Amino acid sequence: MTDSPMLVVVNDEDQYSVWWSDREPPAGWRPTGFAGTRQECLDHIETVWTDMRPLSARDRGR
Amino acid sequence: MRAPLSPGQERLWLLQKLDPRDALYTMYLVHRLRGPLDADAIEGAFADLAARHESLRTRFEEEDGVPWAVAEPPGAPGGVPVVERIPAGDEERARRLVAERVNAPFDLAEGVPLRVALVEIGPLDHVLCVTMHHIIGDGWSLGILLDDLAECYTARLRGRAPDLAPLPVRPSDYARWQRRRADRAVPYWQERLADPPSPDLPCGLGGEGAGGVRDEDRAGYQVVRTGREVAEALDRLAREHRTTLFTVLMTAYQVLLHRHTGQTDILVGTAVAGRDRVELEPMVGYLSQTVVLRGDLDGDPSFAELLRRTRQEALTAMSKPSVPFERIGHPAEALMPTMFILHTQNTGPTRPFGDLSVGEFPDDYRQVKLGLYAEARLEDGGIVVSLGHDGSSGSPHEAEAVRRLADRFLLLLESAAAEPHRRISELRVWTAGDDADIRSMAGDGEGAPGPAVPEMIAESVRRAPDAVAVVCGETEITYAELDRRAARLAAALRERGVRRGDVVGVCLPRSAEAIVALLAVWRAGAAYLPFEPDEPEERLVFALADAGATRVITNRALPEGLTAVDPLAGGDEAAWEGPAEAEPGDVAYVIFTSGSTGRPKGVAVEHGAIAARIRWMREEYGMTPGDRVVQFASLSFDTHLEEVFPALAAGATLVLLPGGAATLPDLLAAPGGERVTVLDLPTAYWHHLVEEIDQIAWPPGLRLVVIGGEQASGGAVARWRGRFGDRVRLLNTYGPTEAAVIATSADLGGPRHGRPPIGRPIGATTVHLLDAAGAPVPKGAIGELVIGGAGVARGYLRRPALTAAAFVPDPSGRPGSRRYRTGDRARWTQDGELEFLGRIDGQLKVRGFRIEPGEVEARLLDHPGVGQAFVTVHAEELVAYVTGTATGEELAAHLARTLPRHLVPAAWVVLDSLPLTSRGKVDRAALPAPVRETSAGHVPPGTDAELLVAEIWAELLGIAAVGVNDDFFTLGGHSLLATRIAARLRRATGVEVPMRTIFERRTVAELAVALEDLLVADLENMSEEEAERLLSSAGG
Repeated sequence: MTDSPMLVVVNDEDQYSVWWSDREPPAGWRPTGFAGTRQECLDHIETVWTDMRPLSARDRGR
Repeated sequence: MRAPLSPGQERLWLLQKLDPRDALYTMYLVHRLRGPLDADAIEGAFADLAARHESLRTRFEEEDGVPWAVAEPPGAPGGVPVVERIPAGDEERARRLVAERVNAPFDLAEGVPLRVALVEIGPLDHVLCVTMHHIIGDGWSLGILLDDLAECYTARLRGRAPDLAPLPVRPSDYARWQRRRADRAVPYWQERLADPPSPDLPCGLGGEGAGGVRDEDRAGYQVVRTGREVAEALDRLAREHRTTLFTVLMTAYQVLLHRHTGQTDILVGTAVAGRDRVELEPMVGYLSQTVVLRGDLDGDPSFAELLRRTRQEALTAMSKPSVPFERIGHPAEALMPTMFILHTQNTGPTRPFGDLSVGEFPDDYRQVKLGLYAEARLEDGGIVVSLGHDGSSGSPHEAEAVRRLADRFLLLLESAAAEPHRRISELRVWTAGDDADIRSMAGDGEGAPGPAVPEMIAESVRRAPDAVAVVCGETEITYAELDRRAARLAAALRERGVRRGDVVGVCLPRSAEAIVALLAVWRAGAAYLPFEPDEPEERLVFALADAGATRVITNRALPEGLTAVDPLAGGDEAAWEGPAEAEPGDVAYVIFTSGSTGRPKGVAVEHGAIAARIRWMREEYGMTPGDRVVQFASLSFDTHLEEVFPALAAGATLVLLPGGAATLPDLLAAPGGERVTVLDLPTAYWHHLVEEIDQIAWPPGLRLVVIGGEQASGGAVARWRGRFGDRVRLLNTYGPTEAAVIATSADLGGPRHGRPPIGRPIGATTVHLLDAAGAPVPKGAIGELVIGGAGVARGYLRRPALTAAAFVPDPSGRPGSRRYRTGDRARWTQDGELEFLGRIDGQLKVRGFRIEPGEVEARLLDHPGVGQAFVTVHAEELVAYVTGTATGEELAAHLARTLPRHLVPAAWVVLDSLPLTSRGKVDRAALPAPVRETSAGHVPPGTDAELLVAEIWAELLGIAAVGVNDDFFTLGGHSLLATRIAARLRRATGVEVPMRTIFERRTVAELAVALEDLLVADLENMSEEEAERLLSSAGG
């Protein structure tokens, strides 16, 4: 993956990743609104993804 | 007259001498001559031709290893070409005669390397076949030869002198001049071609593939042609950029290579005529120059932008005289893995050839000079591209692979012609067939739903409670007992506050208690985090804190804040509601792996992921209650899951190695060992066992060996099959911890060629190979191996950025699913199997252990006595190169406090500074090999047993003189080599030396005494005669 602009994306389990800003994210993923270089996106994720449990596991308390 | 050779001639002379049977350097001129032909006039014309062109009467002499060119005087017996007249009778036979000649080598010691044949098909139908060694003529020379021959023949017929201008320069003058020019160009080329990239080619051609050896039977050419419009558009593109069609095609060829290999630094050779002076134009000789163009494809430029770069490079490089690769300081394969040539010569004579019409005739030339060789010519307004391949991929489907490659090149040319402003990553290269292949090879990520692992084991307990579940030394425990003990320990964990979603450490020696502990943690609803029994405390504390765990099932004393749970502790089972079924989304285990930034990272794997794996393994490995499976892997690595749980899920017996993994040969040789049916071994260890295949007590009932962790060696597989045939199934597996143990597998049965593959995606798993732009690549191309499907881990504990970078959206999976980027490079073979090609980054594998050198380097740099550090692998060992004041011994002790054993380098080299390449990277080639220090007071071996032990050590460790007080492990010995020491001792003496003895008796003297004791013990059970024989062999 190169220096092309990226987006922070999140899925229904509240799991984060990055995707190219000029491509449609795959089904089940939506942009959070944050965009930048790949590194900027990862730095952003480091601060916002505080509970890394999938949403469904959180609901069960595990 | 004797003259020196030009640099190019010298190189050819040397190459031909290296392989005299090689017909690579045979040049040929084949034409069909129709009409009335005067054979005597042809013969006379060749005499005239040889008198005119010195090259055609030059032979080569060697004196003290130096070649000289010796030109016979015009008209001298050796200087007049012999014209062989052959009546062929029909075209078929003529064709065969021509093919024989153009594919025949020349012996440069045997006179002038020129042959002329006149093949008669009919009275008015002949084929002229002139062959010569490249050393006396290039492609341009062939055109001159034909023109001058036509004139000499016509002149003979007409009874006049040929109308040819005298030649101003002789080849010998040219050679002297070119030697001086090449000398001056050496510095330019050395700088321009410094640090050549790895010479990757598509489809495994050239060095990197399975074969790496030219195979004439599989070599050939594949030809495609563009339409007229495409040729016109490319020509227009060239003119718009003030360059030539050659530059456009060269650029496209670089893009083709880039899209197949991912390389952005690409070396492609080409030939330039080397006739940039008028006086060189009419000469027959080897003047063409091989020039390497270095393409810089970095930053995903547009095709047009890359064209500008290529133009600049071509202008500079092609004006320089070439120099032999040997003088640039790198092997030819590295500097010029492939070539592209655009032919512009006319194919017919420009002068009349008597009354003959000159046409083409098939030459059936089969020689290919390089792994991959591309040439193009213009024909009927289109561009004809032929790709030559040399058989070096080792694949029987090589022609098919290159056919695809040619089709892709065609598509790429069309795409570049239509949209030159697109980025090179966006140009069309893959055909519709390629896209279909990608989809069908990827596998199916949706597994059938099924029970979690604890339920599968519960089923085994219900089915056969009295069957033996675990054997550890003398101890055997049944399924019922395993279940009871796990329930008791689980209750104890609950009493100590363990709840669903928690993580519990397990730090125990190889024992039934350890297996009970894993099951108990699951029963309590938690995930287990396994450690080595001797895990450094700092790392143990770090990993537990990282995983948010405070309880550890162990006998060790733990620092404050952590709770040790005795593995034999029992709780009141009636006091809680009992185990809840594990949900697929619950974490089952956490495994820490080496982290490149210096911190290890915990991989959390969920029950759903590991259940999909265990169900596949149970089925694929054909596990039944009758199986006995050895538990070889340490619990701190995830391979243990592949051994423990398919066995327990099938009601089979798990056999532990309480003395450590390296005692496997002892276990197999001991009573009970013969009943083992399944082994799962790290590939590196299996390689060592295969080296001593006849010394291992392979169980008669062994039916399956699973290997994995490193590239399997084709030689070892062949040896294995030679011994076992198809009786023992050999399965090669591949997979990272992040995708739940394994993701692909290959059955290494049946006849195989080249390097063993890692196979296809296993059940509930997808594999795609992605290029740098994230697009999947088809057969023959290299990409990053990315794994999707049911086995993908939850992520790295408390590492959001690292997790988000490695676990990415999976467009091919269920909505919202993720796939894991492994950082491994791989290629799909023509058979749709994956070939493993190493790492994208610097991650190392040492004897199957995954190591981030960055983690070790970071720890070394923590030490005040270290300036710089570089960690790499040498001879299956981790080696550290450091600068500064600290000694290797101090640093090893420093690391051992924080790192597990496999991360502590075994060899140390202290340098004044790290050698760097001109590009500022550590110059691996310049790093000295580590030298083993033998002990200070060298005492040579004395007794027969000492001599034998010392000799075996010396050979296996690669050390000249081993003394009696030298320590096996200090000398660089490791458990894999220990296996081979035992095997060699057994071969020499017939005595079984337990692995444990090799580990405990670490010096030559100690081991020799142990050997003598064992011999004596054996003697007591032997006849006198047998004993005599044995003692004399032990002394030898």
